[in-house]
Amino acid sequence: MKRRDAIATLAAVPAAGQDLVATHPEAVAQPALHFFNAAEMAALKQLAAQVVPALDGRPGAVEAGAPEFLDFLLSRSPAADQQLYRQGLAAKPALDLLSQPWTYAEPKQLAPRFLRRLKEDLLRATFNSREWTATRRGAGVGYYWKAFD
Amino acid sequence: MAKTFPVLIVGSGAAGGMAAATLTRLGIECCILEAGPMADIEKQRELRPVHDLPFRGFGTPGRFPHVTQASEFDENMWADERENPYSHPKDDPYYWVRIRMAGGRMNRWGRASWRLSDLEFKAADHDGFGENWPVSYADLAPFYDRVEPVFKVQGRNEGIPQLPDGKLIPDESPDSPANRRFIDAATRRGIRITKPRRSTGTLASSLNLLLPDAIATGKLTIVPNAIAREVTLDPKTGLVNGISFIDRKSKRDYWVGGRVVMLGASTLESSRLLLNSKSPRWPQGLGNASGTLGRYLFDQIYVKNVVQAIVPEARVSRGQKGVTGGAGYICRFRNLKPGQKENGFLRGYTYDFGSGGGPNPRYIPHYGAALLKELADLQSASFSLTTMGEVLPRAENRVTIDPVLKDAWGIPALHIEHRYTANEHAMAKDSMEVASELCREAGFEILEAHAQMVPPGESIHELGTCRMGADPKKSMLNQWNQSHEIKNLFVTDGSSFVSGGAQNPTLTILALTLRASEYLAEKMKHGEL
Repeated sequence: MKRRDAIATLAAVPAAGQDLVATHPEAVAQPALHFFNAAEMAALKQLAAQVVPALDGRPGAVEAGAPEFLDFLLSRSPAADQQLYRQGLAAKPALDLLSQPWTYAEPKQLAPRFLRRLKEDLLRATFNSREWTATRRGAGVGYYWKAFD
Repeated sequence: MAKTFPVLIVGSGAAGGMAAATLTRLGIECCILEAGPMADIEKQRELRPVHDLPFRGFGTPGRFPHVTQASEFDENMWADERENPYSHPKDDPYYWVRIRMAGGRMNRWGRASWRLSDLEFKAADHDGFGENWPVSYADLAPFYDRVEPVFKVQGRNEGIPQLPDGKLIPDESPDSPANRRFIDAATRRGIRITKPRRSTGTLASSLNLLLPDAIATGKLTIVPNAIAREVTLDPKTGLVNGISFIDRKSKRDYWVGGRVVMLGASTLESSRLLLNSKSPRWPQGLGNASGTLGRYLFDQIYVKNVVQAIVPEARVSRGQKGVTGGAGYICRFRNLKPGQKENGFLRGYTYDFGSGGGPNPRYIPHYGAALLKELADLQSASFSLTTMGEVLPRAENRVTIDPVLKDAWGIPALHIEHRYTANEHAMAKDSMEVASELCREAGFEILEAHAQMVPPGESIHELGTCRMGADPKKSMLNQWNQSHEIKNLFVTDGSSFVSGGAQNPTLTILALTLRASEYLAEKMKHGEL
């Protein structure tokens, strides 16, 4: 493209009703780590692949970027949540603990408490991902209230 | 120069909106002071996919520790807890859930629209606990009749004494086979069940159903972002004469005059305002001769998903369709006879139930492919119930002004003390047992059952603290929601309740306000106020 054509393209005002095409960063870029170190992220990804695997043409937690998203979420979360994840990953819990029946009372021990939280967070982060909602038409759309002045 | 309005109204939700709509319709000029901003619903919200939200629907971490109802889609609606703090005893958490915008919590309510009956209005006669309301069902029925059509309440009239019939859009939806089995199990025990009763329409709020008509009369002024600080008193007459308020954005102080003041700021905000409106004449809060201002705080117990079950025939692998779907409501069935105290508790509880969709994955004791396959198989098989129960009003459950804590505008904050007692715990346990038995009789498989109530306040049905009563020594307001002590002061929101039953309170707030507003208009017409 000639230089003057490129400038003309950039300066062009879209016609009425024509939207500018915007690309979300997640589609093209690798998110940086905010909270976990490399070893912790590797451990989290390994767990994520086992707890919520890809299945029947739908993405699993890893394909949906859930570990990276949880890294970002936890970087903003209260200290108690951060501690649960850090200590839970370090404990290398056995996933068979997730086969115990769910009870309303939260487990007192770290491993089952962490795994319970991890399972809920991974599922939610996966089901609410761009990759997952692309496989289910109309999924995950709601009315968003903008901030007031 | 401050203007003096005939009626000053605080709040624009159910109570404030209904007061404005009624008084302006009757030719009375009003001014609403609304603590939050105005909202153009069309401009303030837009459809977005969850994956475009910054936190994928999880919500801003730590933003609302006490608002479990907030989602990332609506978190900008809820009152910021850092700007609007409150305190509670360390071991007795209270969840105070607020929206500060025109229309208030009516912009987000669950729309359940039930009438109270004389089981509630005359509860003290029924079981000897507490006080009666100074009104009966017969007094309020004509006003329920007029409110229900405005809010297009849909439901079913069934002639159930503890749940009076209404002016309803008939719900003739059929029951799914799973729901039918459950209903039959309950009916065999003499438990009455009906369809939900809900206000319908795109937005069932004062913002679209009450305020527009009031504005159209030309007699309503709305001042948004006006945080009421104090109701002021004329020391010569002993009557209220206006309200001091602070502009939310500039933090500048103002005062506006009113011949009558009507509070509809919501239960705890109205009582907070009265408690903060101290004077030499009213050192314990405005109009508080009885000492009851702030006391007898109650709400309704909620046991969310008291039972989570699955309907086996609704598994995808069973190949049957249309087994589940729809919702219902179980009416109070405990302690219907006078003087009863079944299973160690007074009063009673109700349930919302529904089937369809899948259970929350947390209930499924699997992970990996086994979990995902089970979730897919159960995607239409869920059946669950939530308990809602009456809380006894007790003097020791109360709000006072915190001696130190203030909000972002320098207004003293509330200290909230509310503990559930043996009565509520026994009720929750009974509700779990009955729900479990009914589910088993209906042939459902129970995944989990529990009796854990949500913390006080989380129901968003906080009531009392400025109660009505026939005796001025035991109450703040008379049968017209008028202060016993200050005749030009009215309070019509949930703070005026004497008891609350298990039914959602909004319809009663609307009916009470309509009634009180027409009484006020009549008095003003005859020059008595």
